[in-house]
This record gives sequence, structure tokens and C-alpha cells, in this order.
Amino acid sequence: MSSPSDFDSNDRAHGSATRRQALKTLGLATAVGVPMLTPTVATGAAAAQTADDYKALVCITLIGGNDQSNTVIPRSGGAYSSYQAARPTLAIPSANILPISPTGFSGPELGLSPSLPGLRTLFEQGRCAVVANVGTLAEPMTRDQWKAGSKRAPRQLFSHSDQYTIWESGLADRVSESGWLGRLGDMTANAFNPSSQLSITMSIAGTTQILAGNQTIQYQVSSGGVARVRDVNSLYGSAAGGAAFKQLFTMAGPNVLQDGLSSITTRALSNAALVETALAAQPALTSVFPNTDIGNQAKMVARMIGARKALQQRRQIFVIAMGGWDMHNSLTEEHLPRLKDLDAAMSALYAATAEMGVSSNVTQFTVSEFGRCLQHNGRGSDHGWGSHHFVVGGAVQGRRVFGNWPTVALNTAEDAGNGALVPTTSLDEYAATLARWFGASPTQLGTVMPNLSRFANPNLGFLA
Amino acid sequence: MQDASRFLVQASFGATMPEVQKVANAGYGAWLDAQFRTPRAATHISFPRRDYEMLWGTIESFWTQAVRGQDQLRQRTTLALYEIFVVSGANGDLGFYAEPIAAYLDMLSDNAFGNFRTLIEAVARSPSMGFFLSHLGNEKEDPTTGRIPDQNFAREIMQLFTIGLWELNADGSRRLDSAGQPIPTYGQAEVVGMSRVFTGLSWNANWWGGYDFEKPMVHYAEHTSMSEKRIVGGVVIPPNTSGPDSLRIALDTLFNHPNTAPFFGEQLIKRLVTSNPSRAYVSRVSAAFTNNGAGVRGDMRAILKAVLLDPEARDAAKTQEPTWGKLREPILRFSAWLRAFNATNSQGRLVLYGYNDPMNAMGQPTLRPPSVFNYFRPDYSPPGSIRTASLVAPEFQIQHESSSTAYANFIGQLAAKGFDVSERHPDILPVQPNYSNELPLASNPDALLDHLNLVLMGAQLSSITRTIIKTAIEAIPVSASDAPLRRVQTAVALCMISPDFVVQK
Repeated sequence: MSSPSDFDSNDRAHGSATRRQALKTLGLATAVGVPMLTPTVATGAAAAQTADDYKALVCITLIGGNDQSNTVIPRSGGAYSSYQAARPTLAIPSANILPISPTGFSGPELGLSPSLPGLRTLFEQGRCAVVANVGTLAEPMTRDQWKAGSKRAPRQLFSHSDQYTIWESGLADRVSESGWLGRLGDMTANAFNPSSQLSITMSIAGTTQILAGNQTIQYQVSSGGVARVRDVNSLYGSAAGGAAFKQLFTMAGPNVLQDGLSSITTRALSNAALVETALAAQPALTSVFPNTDIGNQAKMVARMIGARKALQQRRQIFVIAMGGWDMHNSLTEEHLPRLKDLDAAMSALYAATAEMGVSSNVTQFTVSEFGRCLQHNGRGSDHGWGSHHFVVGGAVQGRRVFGNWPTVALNTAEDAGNGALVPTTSLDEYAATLARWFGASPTQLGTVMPNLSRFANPNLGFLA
Repeated sequence: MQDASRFLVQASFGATMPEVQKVANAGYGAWLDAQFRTPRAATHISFPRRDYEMLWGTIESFWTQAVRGQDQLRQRTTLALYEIFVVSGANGDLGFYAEPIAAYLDMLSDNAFGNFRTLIEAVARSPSMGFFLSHLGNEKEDPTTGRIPDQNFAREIMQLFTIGLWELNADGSRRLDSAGQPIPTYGQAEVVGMSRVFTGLSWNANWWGGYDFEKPMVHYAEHTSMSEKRIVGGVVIPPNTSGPDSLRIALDTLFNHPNTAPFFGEQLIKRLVTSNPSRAYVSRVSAAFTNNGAGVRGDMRAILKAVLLDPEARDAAKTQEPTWGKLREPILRFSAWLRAFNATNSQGRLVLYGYNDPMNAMGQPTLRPPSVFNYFRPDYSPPGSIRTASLVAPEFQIQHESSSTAYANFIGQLAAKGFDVSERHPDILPVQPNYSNELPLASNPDALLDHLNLVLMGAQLSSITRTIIKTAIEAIPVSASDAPLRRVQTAVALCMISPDFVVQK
């Protein structure tokens, strides 16, 4: 790993090069709507002065299985025709697809869903990359090996809860109660946040297994902010009542469920005061977040990032989540608005990190339990396997497509059936690349992703 | 009386003094038999539509029946079934109208004391379920366009509603193969086969519409797959089998699968009694599912009796075991208060719904679980001492810092002012308690706590909790003019925040 100062200077240089390259290569900045970059350059410089050694991962969970085929799309020629032929009722008209121009990419001309203008802009600016056909794997395997059953397959493919559990646990072939971001927290909390009372892992989306560590216990906060327990000092005007309320709220018992309850209520009480104070001390962000569920969650992430110094955190891991992606029969109506909400939230969070001077210190990435079949069922698509994912941030080697772009057609070499993709990049490699950037050492990566050594690329290279 | 109070925490939406006396007088078995005969006072579908967003009306109807119904066992069983066979009002299409969820709850209630085979067919044919898991209007395969049948319901009816993912022994433990590995109950081929079974079903009136959520879906031959259908257990439905026949064979196969008895039985135990039943307890409930004693499989009355009358469920000594019990879910904490104190608004209604639903912040929006996986998964195990002990605690999936804080602040307000959002929403009248049975006991804290122990606490008030609450009550001088009310409010709030209440034993 490079030292923190190396990281910052490298990142600045890289960022400028990317921007120059983007503008030069395109020669059509206005035509594709790339905005002027001057403000970003200014905040980039500010970042070097204020960021110190700070990094955050923001995991954006798309619950239900996002349809990758209508998210990143071949936009012209025979590649578009194959896509259109495989899902005539679902295909997006080629004229509506937002073109992207990945560098070093030999596949077909690609574009993003018309609902992703923000991510398209970030992509073209070199702040966003696509990681193609990522999925759960127990070991590398081809379609023929999957059909023949000659390699270990992930447990319970195509099942929501099980594939979601694997994306969270990072273990495709065995049961685990911990999650890979939780284990990453275990590996990094003491080294980077030695004085912090608050957990390194924070969920704005309720309880998640992905943040469950062996030592680390995720902190949960709602997108509305932190509420204090009101009656612990005085209950109906009585101090004695308040004392009793506090004592009973946090009281453990001989029963193990009561004990588990007590550990949660005790944390709620002590952390609420800390976080409330830290958030209140931050200046308001001028970046505007969409007033959607995911937008409000992203805003809370931004506020917690803003409070990082008061919380004594040099590393933060966040999870936000968005449901409703299981579009068996409603893809044509619901996918576009859902992607639009995602796009607006991710773009706003990027803008807020730029405003705070930490755009190169915060990496957003998407996860989802599976992609979906390319083949249609009339009104939607069924559970698939591999999918495309987005990574966003100043440290991202953007404007690139990582992994192997699959041929978008039925009966291809990656077709597991009905156009479900046999992944060509493992979740393990995707996660390890993020964990490495975050600060896990090569040996720690083996704890974060225990099956990593089975795969070829412990670092996919999408983060500088 | 104490045992009766504890029983009612498992078998109802909360105790009341009259109900405790009924159970104590009749005995558990006779009380259950009487409950089996008690009709519903009304359907949800007939509840008056008063609001533009009509799901709120169904939510009011749900609370009204849950809190005031004399058919408490049916009501409580309906919620348990709803949390297993989930159709969520969080779905945008289903959630804006009253009918889909109302009709679905009515269907569950109508089948709560029937036969599991009938229940599962009613679930499979429910237009609400068909809408939610998208097998309503599911088309047969079409080789010309490459269209294949939707697999959504085909998968979930197996995974969540009947057999689960892994082969089970009758005691609910996983069967293992010769290499010591669990054995999947089905693979993708069986999902494809089952997806063909669930084609051709649509609205009762006609394929394209009608939107009659009360009438079960029917088959339309021209939309129904006539292909061979390979399903679980090696069963092959031959080509050209009609839709109704295919459905019958598929549901019979699932109903008779050896997994279904322990899979459903264990879930019902977890919903009503305890999160970590012994294998022997699950076996006994499985046996009741398999045979009600008169050779009938799937008799819901026999299954419910097995769950609620099991020696493990009834033995008061179990409450002292450190692994016994379950976290009370927020809906049941609130319902216990509403029932114990006969709460109502000034119009006699229980308007607790809408954007003000107090359950939202506690992680359990009423009738709006986030997905078909319910508010919590049956196998969820929270990190810490529970997981270390290899136990599960499903309800902990929605118990975290923010929901705990929301509950504490809710209780603090509830015990004193009731559910009251009138400051922000003057049109929503407060739902307030009737403490007339408690106020006369205010000068005698022990008598007050004995009473609350029966109506609120399921007889689980521990001596340490009692001491803490009694001290707080006695700190309010009896001379103060509002002393009786403040003492009662204090006692209720402290009871409900205590772990003796929040964890049901």
C-alpha cells in the first residue's frame, strides 16, 4: 500500500489526467452533457489539505436482484440487435440509451439506462466504473462445468435469501454468520479508529448480515437522524421514574434473549448522545439530496462522513439499501424510476463528498443478490446470477469496464439457462479489491474473503 | 390465573382480566375448543372505506379485529400465517387499495382452523398473492418469442410456504447425506417444472381483469402450459395435463412432502411460543400435522393444539431456562397495551394507521413487511450472546438501536397520553387508555403490580423488576392531586420497558 500522502497526490494526478483525457477523447463534452469541471478541480485541491488518512466504503444494496441487461446495454449494431431479440418486450430503444465511452475496452458500444444520467456523467469524468458480470462463485467455473456439475456451485443459486446471504457473507459454499464488511471492520477498526466509541460499521438500512463481524457490531441509525431516549432522566416529572426507566430499558437478565436485548439498548443509549452531538456540530451541506428513501439514507451517510473527526473515525463502512428490484412482471414500468432514484442518490452523495473535500476518500459500490435472466417472461425477467455493478468515487479508475463483458444474447458461453450469466468475476475478487483499498493487508484479505485464493485476480484494479 | 395469563400471551393479542378468568375456569383445551367455534365478528373486506388511501382502512380493520375480536385465537393465528405466507401492503399496487390485503387476511382467517391443504391452495389461488408474487396472469412458455413462465411463485411456494430448501427430519433438523452435507429439496429443474404449473391462472371473471380480490384465481386453458412438468420428489406431471389437474398434483405433492410438517410446524411454534423449541417439541407438532389422531393430515386445529398444549409450551418451569422464549414483536407489544386497557379514540375507533403508523419506527410497519421474507427471517441469529449460544431470535432482525429508541420513546408517551399525534395531525384523534381498573389500586403498589402482572406481563414480572418499579411508584407522594394517575402511568410505562415484558416467556 502506498502511504496516505502518496495516495492523495497520486489521486490528484490521476484525476486531472482522466479529466483531460475524457475531454480530449470525447471532443463532444457538451453533446453528451459532461458538465464543466472547474468546481471539482477546486474541491480536489481542498481534499489534499483536509482529508488526512480517511477512507469510507458505502455499500448500496439493491434488494431483489437488479436487471443488469437493462442497466448497462449494448447500444448499436449487431450487439444491440441480439439484446433486442432476446427480450423484445423489455428492450430499451437504442436511441434512448445514454452512450458511454469506456477506455481500453474492445467490446461493443455500450450505454447506460436512460435513468442513469448522473452515473453516465461520473463515468465519463472518470469517477465511475462498471464491473461486468460479477457474481457468487465457489470456484472459477464455466457454463459447461456448471451444466456438468463438475465444479462446486454456490449454495442455492437463484434463491433470493440464499444468494443475498452469500453476497453478505462472502462465502458461496458454506454457512457463515458474519459478513465480509463486518470482517473488514474487525481487521481495520483498532488500527484506524483506536479511540472511537462508535462501531466502524454503520447501517442506515436496519440489520444487515454484511456488516456483522466477529467482534464488530454494526451501529444502526435511521435516515432521519439519531433519536435520544427521552424519559431516562425524568419520567412524567419524576427523576426516580426516569432512573427506573433507564435501568429497566438496559437491564440484562439470566435469559439469553434478555441479555441480547440489553446489549442493544445499552448501545442505543450511549451512542445516541455521542452521534447526536457530533452531527449537530457539522455545518449543513449545500449539496442537495433527493427526498427519496435512498436519497435520505445517502444524506445520512454524508452527514456521518462529515462527523468523522468528532467520532474519531479514520475509517467508516456504511450500508444503505433500496428494495423493489425483483421485477418479475413490472420491469417495463418500474425499472426506470427505480434506477432514476438510485442515480440521483449516488450522484448527490458523490457531490457531497466533493463538497467536503473527500471525494477521493469515499468509494460507493453496488451489490445485489443476483442479476436477472436476459430472456423475458413477457412483463419482466426472472432470477439470474452474474450482474454488472457500479463503483463510484474519486479513487475509482473510472471510465472503464472491468472484468469480462458478456455477449448479450441467449445460448452464449456464459448462459446458465434463460440468459442467466455464469459469472466471470467473483464476488470474492470484487470485495477484495474494495477491502484492499480500504486498508486490509494482503494477509487480512484472506480473513475478509476466505475463498479469495481460489480466484485469479485478488485486485481487479478499479481502485487506485 | 398466572398460567392462564402466560398462555394468553402465546394464544392471543394480549390478556384481559375477563379472558384470563375464562382460561383459568375452562382450562386450556376447552378454551381452545371454544375459540375454534367462535365466529368472526366481521370481515376486513366489509370494513368501511373512509380514506383516500384505502390500505389505511384495512390497517384500522386489522387493529380493530386484533384488539377487540372475541375470536382471539383466530386473530393471533391469522397474524402468524400472514407472517409465513406474506403478501405485503408495501407493494405499491397492493398498498393503495383496501381490497387486496383485506381479502387476503379474510382468506387466512377463514382457513386458520381448517386444513393446511385447503389453506395452501387458497394461498396459491389468492389474487393478492398472485399479484404480489406475479403468477396472476402468468403465461405459458412461447417458443417463438422465447418467453418462459415466471418462476417467482413457483420458487417461493416451495422455499417459504411448504418444504423449504433442505430436506428435513420429522424433528425439523436437516437430513444429511453420506458426506455429512445437507440435501437440497429441489434444484432449478424443479423450479422450471413448478413454474409451468403456475401458468394460466388469472382473475375469476376473465383473464384480463375484474380486480375481484375476493374470488380465487381460475385457470384459462389457452394460457396454461401443457408441457411436461417435473416437480419435487421425482413427480412428473405428464404433457397435456390440464391446469387444475396440474395444480392439484403439485399441491398434493407439496402437502404430502415429508418436509412440510416439520417446516410449517416449527415456524408456527416460533411465531406463537418460543424461538428455539426442542427437537422433541417440533417432532410432536410434526406428528400432529401428519395425523390429527383420526387419520387426517394437515388439520390446523390439531396442529394449533399441539403447538399451544405441548408440555414444553405449558410448563411454567421453562420460563426459568435461559434459552426459552421469544422477543415480543412490536405489534404484539402495542396490542397487549391496547387490549389490557381497552384503548379507544373518542369515536370508539382504533385509528393507528397511515403515515403516522407508530410501528414504522419500530421496524414493523403494520401489514407492510418489506418483502415476502417478512419483517424477519425464521433463522435470523443476532451477533453477540445469542449467536454464540447457537440460538436463533427472528424478531431481533428488527431490534436495533434506532428501533429500540423508538420503542422506548413510544412507550413513554403511550402510557401517559396514549397514541397521540394530534399536535401535528389534529384530524387524527388520540387513542387513549381506560385505567379505571388500575386507578383504585394506585395507593397499593403491590396490588397494582399484581394486577399488571396478569393483564400485561404474562405473569413474568420478576422480583427485581417489581422492586425497581415499586420504588419509582412510591416516589410519587400519594398526597399529590394527580398521584393515582401518575402512579398508574409510571407503573405501565416501566412494566412495558422492562425485559420481562419485551421478552415473552
